[in-house]
Amino acid sequence: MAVVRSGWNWLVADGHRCRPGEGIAYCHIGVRETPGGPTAAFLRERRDLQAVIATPVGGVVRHRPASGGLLDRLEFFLWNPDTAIADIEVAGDAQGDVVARVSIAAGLRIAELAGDNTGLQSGWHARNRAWVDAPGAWGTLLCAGTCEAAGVIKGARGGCLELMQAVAGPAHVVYWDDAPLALTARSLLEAAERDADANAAIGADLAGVIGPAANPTDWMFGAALLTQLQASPLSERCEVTADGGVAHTAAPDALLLSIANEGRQRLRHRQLGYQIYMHAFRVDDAGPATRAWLRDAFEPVKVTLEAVRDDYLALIRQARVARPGATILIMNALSSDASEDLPNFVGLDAPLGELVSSVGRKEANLMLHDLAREADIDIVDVDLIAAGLGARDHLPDTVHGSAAMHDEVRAEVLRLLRARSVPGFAPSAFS
Amino acid sequence: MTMAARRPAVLLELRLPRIVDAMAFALIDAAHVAEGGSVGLGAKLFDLTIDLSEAFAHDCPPVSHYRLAARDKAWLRRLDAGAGARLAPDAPLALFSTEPDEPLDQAPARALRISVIGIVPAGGLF
Repeated sequence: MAVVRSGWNWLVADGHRCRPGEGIAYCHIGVRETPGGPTAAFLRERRDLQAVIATPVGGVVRHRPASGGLLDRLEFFLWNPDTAIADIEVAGDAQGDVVARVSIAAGLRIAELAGDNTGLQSGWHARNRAWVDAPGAWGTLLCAGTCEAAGVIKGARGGCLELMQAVAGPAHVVYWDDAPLALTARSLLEAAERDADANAAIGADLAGVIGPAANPTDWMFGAALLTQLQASPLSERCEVTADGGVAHTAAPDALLLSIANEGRQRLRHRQLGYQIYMHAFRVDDAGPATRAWLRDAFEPVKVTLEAVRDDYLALIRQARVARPGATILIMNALSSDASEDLPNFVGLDAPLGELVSSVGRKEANLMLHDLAREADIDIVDVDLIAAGLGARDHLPDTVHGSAAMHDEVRAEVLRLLRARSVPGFAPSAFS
Repeated sequence: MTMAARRPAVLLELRLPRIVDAMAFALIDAAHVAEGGSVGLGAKLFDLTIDLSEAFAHDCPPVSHYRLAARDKAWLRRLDAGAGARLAPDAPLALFSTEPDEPLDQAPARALRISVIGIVPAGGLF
């Protein structure tokens, strides 16, 4: 096999004072049978496969000349480990070469046409991954995407730069996006249980709806929906570059979930039986045929906390069948509401948890504590972290966090993974 | 000699509070009160939705739902906004009085005391 690459794209400006381990550049890469031959690996991610270059020493970055233009986006060059990428001006008289630390980022496009190769993991992806190779046993963290976790896992600039900098490796992180469907515990389970015939039945049903629609919005929404429904994040085994070649990861060693993904009302397909949940605003993004299909072909299902707990328990069992002892992390919810002014509960209809959103979130958090005792899982205490930082400034709408919030939650996720000795996630020399 | 203390009857106004700093508008989902009716402590007045993507483009719009509930006993004398109204902060919502027949040709003495409650929306996806 041969690795080919584009020119270098800078993540920092010339003259930037970088920290040890900081990602300073990336390039697009391809794994080919021969330098000019066909793709040999990462077939579904071949157009959004990128290598991130981190400097092992801190100092002032001086760019080497870049090719520019499309040469920095397309793989015109052969990967040569002796290539000098940049100069790092360090304190003192130190001189010599340092070997860059390389992590890989990969994006699975919703469709091959949904591409944008202008940035690090730019474009419309159903799934993003990143990994860093090192000696030892691999560890995989699978995250069911949600806005609370996106910045934590993918980082401020994409490519999982912060996570890759923090871990010794070999570590692999997988993030499935939540558009249009939020990935509930039930949907992850159902996807893992569906066979090819069941997936085909879902596809045929959806095609019967959006096929005649001849409406781009319906087709785009349908493509994203079908990509999600026909994928099984839990049972997927991914390629990674490892030890100079390509390897496949095992079942996830850890799952990162969020209680925010467990909506209180799902839709159940009347004929095929599968359940979906999406945020209400997603429905507005669907075309008219898809909206009609969601309204007519599905029935609403009210979801109690007991049902969510049962789904979690089933998912945990499933994950631990595939990977005995798998670590399960669940992000809890901000239990208070800075915009709320509620001195008492007089006049409010019971049950309060189904009416007052902050009470509902408190009850969900309590359920997670029961689950933690029952199933030996860990809670990522978003509630505590937001309270400590100041929720009004760092989690103003209870969902979308600041960079500081993401940094703190990421540090907590890593602390929990390390406490469970999940392989690959030990601290790097730069964390 | 005995004396009976009696609070003077006054008008109380209710305007849309700025619940979230960045809010530009709120959509009134429901008005739970009718003109002429009385409201007690804790009575639900309005349900509303605040969509911050009104203020800035957003792929994942932060949409929040709130209920305004009374913390004064009063009579609703005039309803200024009903379901479907789209209002900016400080827009008038309703006028109340502490007695059912208080004349309306006077300025409100103060704002109606209310609770602002974040709620789970009653509707489903449609």
